[in-house]
Amino acid sequence: MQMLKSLLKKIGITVLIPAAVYGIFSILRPAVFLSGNMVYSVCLQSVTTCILAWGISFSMTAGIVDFSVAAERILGSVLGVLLSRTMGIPGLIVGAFAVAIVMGAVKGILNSMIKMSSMVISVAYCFIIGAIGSMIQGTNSMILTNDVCVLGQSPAIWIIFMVCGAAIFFLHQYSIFGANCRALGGNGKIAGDAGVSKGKTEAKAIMIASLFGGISGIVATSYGAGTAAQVGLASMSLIFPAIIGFNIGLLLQKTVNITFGCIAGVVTMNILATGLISLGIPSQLKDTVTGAFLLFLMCCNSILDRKRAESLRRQASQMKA
Amino acid sequence: MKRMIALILTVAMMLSLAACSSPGSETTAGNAGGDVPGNNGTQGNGGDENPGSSDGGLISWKLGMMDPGAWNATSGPLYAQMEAACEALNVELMYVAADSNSAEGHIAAVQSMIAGGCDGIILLNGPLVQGCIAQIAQMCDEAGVYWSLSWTKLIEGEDNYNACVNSPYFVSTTYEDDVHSANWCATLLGQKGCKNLTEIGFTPGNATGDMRDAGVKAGCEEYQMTIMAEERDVNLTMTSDGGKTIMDRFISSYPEMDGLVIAGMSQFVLSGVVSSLEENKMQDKISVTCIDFHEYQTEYLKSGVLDGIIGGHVVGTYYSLILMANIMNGTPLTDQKAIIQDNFIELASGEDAETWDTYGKPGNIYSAEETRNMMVKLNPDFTYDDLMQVIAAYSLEDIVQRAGGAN
Repeated sequence: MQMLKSLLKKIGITVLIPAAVYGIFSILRPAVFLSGNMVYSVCLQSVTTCILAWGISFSMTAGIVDFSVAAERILGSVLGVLLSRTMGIPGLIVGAFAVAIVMGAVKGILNSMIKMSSMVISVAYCFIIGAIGSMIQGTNSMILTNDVCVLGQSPAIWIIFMVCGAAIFFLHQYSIFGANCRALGGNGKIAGDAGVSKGKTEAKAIMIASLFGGISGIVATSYGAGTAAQVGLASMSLIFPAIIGFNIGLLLQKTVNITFGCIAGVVTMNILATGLISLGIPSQLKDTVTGAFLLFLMCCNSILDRKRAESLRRQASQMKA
Repeated sequence: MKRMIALILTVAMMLSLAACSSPGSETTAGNAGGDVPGNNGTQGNGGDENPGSSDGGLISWKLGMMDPGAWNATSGPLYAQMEAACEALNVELMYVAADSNSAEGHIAAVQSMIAGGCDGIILLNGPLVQGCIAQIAQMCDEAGVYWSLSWTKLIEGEDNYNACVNSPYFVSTTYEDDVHSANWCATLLGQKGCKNLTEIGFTPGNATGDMRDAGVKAGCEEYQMTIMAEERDVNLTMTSDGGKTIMDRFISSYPEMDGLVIAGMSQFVLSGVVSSLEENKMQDKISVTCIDFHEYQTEYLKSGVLDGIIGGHVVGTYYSLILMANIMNGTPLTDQKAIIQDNFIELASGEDAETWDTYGKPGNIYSAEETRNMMVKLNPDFTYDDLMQVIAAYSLEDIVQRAGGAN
């Protein structure tokens, strides 16, 4: 019974924010939002960003900010599309994973050697990876034909989503690696003194981010029937929705596993984006509304944290008395 | 070891920022110490000939352009045509990679081109969008480098216009009627009976985007159509899966939608939009028109999922090259600053698209022979009015006729 209550509480907290946002738009546009299609559509749109958010969850938890995962995703997609011309769907998968493994390994090795802010070095990676992608694409078409887009459609996309989700849940919840990432993110020095290997943990986190970036690229390219190389820092814009989703997930982390927190975060942002479109809000205001919403969430979280801390202090003083 | 790795990484980053290459153009013997024509500070003066570097009477000089980045159906033919024309005119083409989404990137690119020895620079509409035309004008004037713009409409009396016409080294700008292109798209939808439209467009404040918005608005007023929603988020409008997300949202939010205008960047979003239409089985219900050519446009037009596409505005830079090359060879076509409107290509059927695929897409819209015939040095009878006639004639029929493909 206790377990059931706890499970229901976790489910409730996971769906609280997206449900609240959905509820608001259901009142404003009932004809659009009170249909099963909308829920499905929003969830479908959230898959690729969710997978990317899961991928970066370990590195972000450990304190590594890596904007280049999106550039890797694009490079993997470019190579995958080229290979798919001769190998079909396996070519898409091989290309994406080959890039993920190579780039993940290189970045992991360099991370332990170069003592520089990850954010700064990830900018360099974006330039390099973007340029490589552009050179590889050359004048080749980056459009996928329908027969190769299977992985971006039901049911394949949902199978991939659930397998990725299960893997991430397990790693966060039960693995020592997940605990090490949290330890590093909490206090790197204490974690190091406790025997957590910073270099190895960060290398693994970077590799996982690359692998999930590759999977996200496969799904996104199949979903959108194509890709295009992006040079310079243009690729960075793809990572921000994932980072936002992860940060919303962090707000729920005290009660809910980050895996579900990321889902809640990404779905919430997609509901918001779709809702603003359905209201005909001018594009210029969309970003303002989105930013205001995030600020609102952070403020709510701050207030709740303060209340919790006050409550604990009161309890402690009552116990002393 | 760590320092070595850091050094290698830094060099790799710098190389990817400032990569320069001259694909497709012959390396010339170079100017052996003589002044490169055009760097002597006098507009219109071809300067000293360098007998050591001429090809069939044409002087060798270096042209700089921004790196086109990844190929797409809109920019691909443009750069292919430029490379072919440069080869025909004994011009060394140099690409510079830079962030095209910032003023600093454009300025850095121009600095790199000047430092790389370019005698002329042709830019697209980035300086207008990023608001750095005046700075570029100053840099080019100080360096004595000729420069031109493309896809850039200058309006008389405005600061950008004044900066260009007052620049001794400014040669030309070419632009297309973006009000017309968007109006064509909206009109096509109106003629099909659409009433409830959605739009994918540029970010607000973009000069090209503003003109296209005006064109869409005019078309909507004429056919009593309504724009129910629009998406301008560049994070979505520059990717294929972003296009699909946008279309899915439009379809979910506006079941009454019967038309979509993609007012630019269709080379990125159209495949995602089509994917969404096919998945939702809305190909017959929603008509789509767009601006900027797409690599699968022929298939889409044939299947009917796409109703019309306008683009092919890939020769503005070529016209500027002709003007600049004549200056470099001491035979300027005009002593005026050229502000030229050129034409779009309109494709409303699969047959039109196939014609473009044959005669326009490969980038050989103007052959080497035609290009050389536009050089006064090789063809003394060629005049500025002749160039204007060439520009005015640009159309699908014109391309076919000149290629000898007319029936």
